[in-house]
Amino acid sequence: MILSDREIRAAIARDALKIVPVPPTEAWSSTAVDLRLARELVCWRRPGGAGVEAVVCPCHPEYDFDTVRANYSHRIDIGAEGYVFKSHTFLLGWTIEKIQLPHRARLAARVEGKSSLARLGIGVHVTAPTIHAGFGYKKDDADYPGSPLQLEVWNVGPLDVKLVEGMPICQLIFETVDGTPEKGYEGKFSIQGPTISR
Amino acid sequence: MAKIRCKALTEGLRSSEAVASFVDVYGRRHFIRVERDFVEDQSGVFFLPVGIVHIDPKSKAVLVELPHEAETGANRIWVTPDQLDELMEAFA
Repeated sequence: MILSDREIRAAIARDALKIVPVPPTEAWSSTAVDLRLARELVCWRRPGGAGVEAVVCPCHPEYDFDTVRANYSHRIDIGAEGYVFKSHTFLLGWTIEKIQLPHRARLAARVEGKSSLARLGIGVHVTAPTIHAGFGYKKDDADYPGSPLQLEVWNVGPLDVKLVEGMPICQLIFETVDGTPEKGYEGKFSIQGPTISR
Repeated sequence: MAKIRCKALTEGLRSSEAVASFVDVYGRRHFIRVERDFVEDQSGVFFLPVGIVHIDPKSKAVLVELPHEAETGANRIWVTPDQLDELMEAFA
């Protein structure tokens, strides 16, 4: 069951869900909440040099995403002027808002794109939209605000599109979980964010 | 059903569509593509059905929900009461 705006607000009020900061009224729709783009981006680059072949093997026992990212990407600060997102490129972004879904709350969510950006060819995830119950929850830290969402942002349109800090970039849709999960989400990305060192 | 007065109505991508535009209280222009017959023509003035979410008691500004996401990315916008027709309805 998808939560309506009223049910989302009620869930925030009873600490069943955290969105920090709580989005302004314009960011809400009947069944979703818009989230904004944070200023830090991670841009991927192709390996340079003639004849250099770079193949990553995610199922290799020694595969480490952070190492791959360090070798083939660089961080960009959007800055006041915004960042021109070139056609047919891919980058990682973050939401300004931090999300927490305590698993006892029996809520999960999906991050989805905004149709206004989709019409330009911009998507915000690569088939991984689920925010699992337990995301951003630290059982020993009641004050922890949650984690921002990492977005896999792609531009398949023919136009370059300027990304600006704080622009509505995605929407979050909340769903109830049928039953209390036996364990919360403890995946690698549960506690994440651009300022958290790994 | 509340309706917002369109500032302009222009051609859509198909002949059955139109693009309605209006401004919010901050002066930002919003565009939304809708089926042409969804917009009501009152002697050359065009109105788009919207949902009333909230009326700010201080400023009287009205938060309205658009039928779907506008080209400018907005789902809900603040407008002035004089932009609306048939304001009375059950608030969400």
